[in-house]
Amino acid sequence: MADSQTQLKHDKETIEFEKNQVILTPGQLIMKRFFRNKLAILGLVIIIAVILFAYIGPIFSPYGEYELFYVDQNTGVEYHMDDKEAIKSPTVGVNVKAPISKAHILGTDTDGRDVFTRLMYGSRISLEFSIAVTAIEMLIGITLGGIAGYYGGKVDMVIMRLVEIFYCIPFVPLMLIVSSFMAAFGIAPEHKIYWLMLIMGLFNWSGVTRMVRGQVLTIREMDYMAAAEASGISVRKKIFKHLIPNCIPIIIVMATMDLGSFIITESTLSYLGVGLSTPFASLGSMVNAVNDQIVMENYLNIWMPPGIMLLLIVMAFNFIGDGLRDAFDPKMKR
Amino acid sequence: MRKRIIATLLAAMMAVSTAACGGQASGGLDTIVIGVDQWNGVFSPFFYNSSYDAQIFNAVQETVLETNANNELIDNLGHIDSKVVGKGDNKKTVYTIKLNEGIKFSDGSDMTIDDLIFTYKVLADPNYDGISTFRTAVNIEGMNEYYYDNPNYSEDVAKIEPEAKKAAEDKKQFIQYLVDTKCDGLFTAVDEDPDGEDGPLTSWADYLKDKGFTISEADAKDEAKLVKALAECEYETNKDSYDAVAYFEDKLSKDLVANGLSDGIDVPEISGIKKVDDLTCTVTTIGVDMNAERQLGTQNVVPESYYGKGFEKGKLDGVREKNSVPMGSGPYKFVSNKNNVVRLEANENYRLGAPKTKYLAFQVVEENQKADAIINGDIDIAEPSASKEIVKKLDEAGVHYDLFDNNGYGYVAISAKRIPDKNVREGLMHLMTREQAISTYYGPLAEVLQRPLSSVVAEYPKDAKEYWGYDPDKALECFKKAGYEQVNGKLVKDGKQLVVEVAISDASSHPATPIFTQMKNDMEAMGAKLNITDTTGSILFNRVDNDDVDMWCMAWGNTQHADLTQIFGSEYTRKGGSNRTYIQDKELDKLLKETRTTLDLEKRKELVAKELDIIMSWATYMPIYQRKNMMAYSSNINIDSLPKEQSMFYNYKSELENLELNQQ
Amino acid sequence: MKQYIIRRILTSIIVLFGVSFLLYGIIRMMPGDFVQQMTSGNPEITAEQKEKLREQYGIGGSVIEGYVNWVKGAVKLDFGDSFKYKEPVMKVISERMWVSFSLAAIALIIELAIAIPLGVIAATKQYSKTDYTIVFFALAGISLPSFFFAALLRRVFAIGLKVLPLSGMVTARAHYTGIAYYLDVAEHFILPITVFVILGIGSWLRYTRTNMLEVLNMDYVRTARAKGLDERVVVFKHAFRNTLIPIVTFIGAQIPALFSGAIITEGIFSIPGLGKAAIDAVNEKDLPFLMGYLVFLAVLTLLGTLISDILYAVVDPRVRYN
Repeated sequence: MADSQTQLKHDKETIEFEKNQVILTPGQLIMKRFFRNKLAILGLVIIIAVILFAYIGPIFSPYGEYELFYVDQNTGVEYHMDDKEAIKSPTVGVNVKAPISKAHILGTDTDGRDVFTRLMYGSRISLEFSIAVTAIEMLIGITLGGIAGYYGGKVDMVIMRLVEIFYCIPFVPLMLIVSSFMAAFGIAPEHKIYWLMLIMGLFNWSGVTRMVRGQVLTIREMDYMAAAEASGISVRKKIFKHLIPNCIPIIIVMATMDLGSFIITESTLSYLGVGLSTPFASLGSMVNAVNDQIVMENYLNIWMPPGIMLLLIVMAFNFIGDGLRDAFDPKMKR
Repeated sequence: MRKRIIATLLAAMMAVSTAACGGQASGGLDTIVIGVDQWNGVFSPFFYNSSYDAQIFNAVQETVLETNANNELIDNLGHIDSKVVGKGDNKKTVYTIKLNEGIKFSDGSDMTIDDLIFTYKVLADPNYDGISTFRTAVNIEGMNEYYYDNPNYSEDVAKIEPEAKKAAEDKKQFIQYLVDTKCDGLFTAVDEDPDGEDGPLTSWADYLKDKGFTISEADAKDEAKLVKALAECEYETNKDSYDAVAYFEDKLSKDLVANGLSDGIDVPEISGIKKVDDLTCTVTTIGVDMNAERQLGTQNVVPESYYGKGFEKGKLDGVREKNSVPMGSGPYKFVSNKNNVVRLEANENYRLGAPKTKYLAFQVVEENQKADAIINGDIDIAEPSASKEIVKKLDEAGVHYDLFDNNGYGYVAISAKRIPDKNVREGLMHLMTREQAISTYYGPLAEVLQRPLSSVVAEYPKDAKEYWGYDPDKALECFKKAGYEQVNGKLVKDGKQLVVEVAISDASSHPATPIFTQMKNDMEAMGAKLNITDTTGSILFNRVDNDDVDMWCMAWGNTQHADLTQIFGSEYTRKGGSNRTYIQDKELDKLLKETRTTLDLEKRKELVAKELDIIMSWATYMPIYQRKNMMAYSSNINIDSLPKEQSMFYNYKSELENLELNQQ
Repeated sequence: MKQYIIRRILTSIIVLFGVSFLLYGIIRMMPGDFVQQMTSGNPEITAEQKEKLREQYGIGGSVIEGYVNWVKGAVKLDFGDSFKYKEPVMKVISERMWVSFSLAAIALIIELAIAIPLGVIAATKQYSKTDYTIVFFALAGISLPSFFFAALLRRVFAIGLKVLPLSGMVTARAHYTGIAYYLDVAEHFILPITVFVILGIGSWLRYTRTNMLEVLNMDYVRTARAKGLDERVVVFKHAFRNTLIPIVTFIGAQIPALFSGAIITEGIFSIPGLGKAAIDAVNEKDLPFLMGYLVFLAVLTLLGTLISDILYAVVDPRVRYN
């Protein structure tokens, strides 16, 4: 239903068009524009598929996240880690880098664990991780940005200096330093992810604050805000009814793009040895197998699936983000 | 227009790549490239801190003695004789070091014994801040006097013990000590609960009352008064649990060394080192020590005329100035360090004749690319870490490589300080699936080690049997013996679950990872917990040093001898020492001391075997694997130019001057 | 304007103090220090020796004391000697930053040369197959970690086809000088620069496309079209010129960052830039270098925002400073 097609030639079409005119709220308009973008739809489909795989998959998987497999090197018979008597045999070793088979759809990794099962858990952790980090980052960023933009003056001055300080601290070296604290305090591996989420959120809000503050500043200057001011509505109403709703598009777009980029950040941290912890799986730690030249050349089944999964998730988030931005901004429509 | 720019760019790139490729073939006949890990550019035997820096300056410098393939000392620049004089506690060993005649440094100047003495003096300098432990590793006569710049050091030290004892007997001083140290850390804050939340006491006033002392309410809030009262109480009721003598000894020795060089140079020379003639000196050491000759003989002899500009005791600036440009008598001369490539050039003055290859270059190559770089011919020599697949890959590519037993080993250690109950430690020992993990990781490239000493060391007991085998049932028995019970699926003692933390660095594809994964699973089945902390090497070291982790996985490398004192001796359990598993065994200490002073190898073998059994019985140390190291050579290298008999102690690095490229 | 710049610089200095104190505090509180790092694995070192070494390296005292000493040197641009390299920090940084800069600058030029035209094309053909294809590949480039691309590229071009060197910055075997030397370096730079370009194109392309879309919907573009001008003239003459404004300010903001070094890529290709040195410094607790490097980065970031703000005023006369 692009406007170029709405030439009034027949009465029928006119009626049809007017109907549409009546029904479409701004929200629906956005949806319509969003669903016109094929890449955005593809992104949405991918994300839904990955979520199903990551959350429903483990229910059907016969194996655990860090379940080890052993193999008798003479007979080739595989044993489970709970098969304690069999493990004691001198010819039994950990079944590392097993090829693709019925028992292991994607083989086993360099530590003898099922790749397919870990892929499910890894996707899940990576998704949860980036969602949590984005949520924390947005919460801090929006609050501070809103305050700075709305109140201005000294408050703005202090918050913006704080933003600059955080903006100046290079993320990766700092993350390495902070991780060393985590290791030093002996944080249990299953809790480490929560700390990582919190810390990454804490160090990434400055960009959001800037953006939201800028947006609030522009909105404040607009005529309708002056009108709202003149009509004497309360501060709360002003913020919640006018300022925040008008910032939402930009926030949503930023958030979707960050969802993707945090997954990449996590894998980079894994590469540097400070990502999510063994024995738990994450896409980042799994995809790191690509750096082992031997694995890279001979065991595509170990590094390729997490690589593709990573690519799919991050791209999907980016497509959705792009689509949303085009959809939100009426100026983008051609 | 834009397309044209892109096209031009691409064309330029192509031109660049072909031009450079063309150049490669023509310039390759006179240079051997060795691929190593990232160095720091501190090519000084005094101030380096990475072994890759060392490999580079060792091509430029030499030592009086070197090791042969069997790790025995052989003559290199000269010869060392030793003689034991005196008896009993007054035994001394006199080493006579004699340099060969006619050795020249690469700048053409002659090497004399002063150059060696200069090396010793830099290593012994009060302001020396490098990693060498030469000063403390050999007990040279007069070394402490020189280092602390106190001519009466030995006498003053002898006085410390009686003085400390006297001070400890004096009530006033003892109480002062308790006040100063806040009862050795017993007291930390006024409002703290002395015995934790679970205990019956709620305040320090209660604590004093409990022991029969009273304190007014006002005084209990005043920290100074409270500590004073506490100190008096502790002195009366609990005096024996404080080691006041150690405290006073520590304090007195600190006072003793406090002066140093601030009052001018009092001791200009090390009295135990004496120059005899231009090529000879004697070094007198206290006692008999199997390692002294090695220490004295394997320090790099550097030209004093070059490193010693403006040198005087305490002033090492001239030495530091040469950190990035080493010089010596070795087969090669240092040329440059640029763009991650170090270039060396043949030293025509070399004592064994000019090296066969004109240039030697070192290039930084990341660990997992070494094999490919060798196959490609980008580099000629490298030491990729050996694995079954690397071997296969090199075999397929027809690359020549050698495998040597590594002079080190990997182990899992348990802190007896953090897990004092030996039964618990034994239980953990029974949960390690070493064989299973090692066999598939390394195949024939590593074997499970049974005692904590590298098996390349001559003293290693080759017939040692497995001490603790994998047996989860036995493990559970041990835990039960320690007082743990299975309640509601949890293994508990006094209401607390058995939780053990193990720290490991770079866990992914580490041979110990499956061991710990299995252990975690087995412990969870029993109702206990194993937390695996994956961290970086430096954090791991830090936590181990601070006794902050129950169990950890590490490796020892570069083992030269069988002296285990520093790792297992009681006195090294003190903070900062290397005995972090807290083995404190009197019998073991005696054996360790005896080993150190025994020069006969066969006798030492017996002693070491006994030592190792005692260490194993403590259930704190589980050796995991003895790995093989790989040295691989590209097809450019003439394999016949490598030394005939090789090991980690003697290989291409020892005969760089003979190394040759294939003639094309 | 002048006053504005002076004020900005003054606040930046305050921010720098804040940043440096924060960083110093964090680094000093980090578990472990350089002395422990360099003595680890050496059973022969005694506790007393370690204490002495700490004193000699100036990391024995309190954090505040250490920071004051550091600031005293830093205001005179003396950041001390790196523990690891045993050379003045300023020297280490200035030597390495040009390597990082040349890599990043060449990559940036290539990125722009590819991303801007493609971005314009994608915008003019929004929701067409061309648009989808361009956006798809550009976004694929920012959807995988850098080490992943590096590994793939090396597998194909260095190990598989053997047309490019595996890693390093020069051919160690050869002794090139003059032009041959630069050609050799250029050959070694191809793979790392490709990694940079793949990773960088996405955001530039996205930025160009968004801005172009916005401009294409402006009234004056419509007017131009209505005048019956050729579409190509409309796009390149009217629309594209206005898209350049935000792009130029964006580029301005990036220039200082070109010196900062790429942590992962430099490490993988064994190129002696600043990024690799930074990681090593964290791992080995090289306090003076780390402080120097991090403050250097902070200065670059502040400079970047300042440049972009000034450029914004220069290219867009509507912007006024107060």
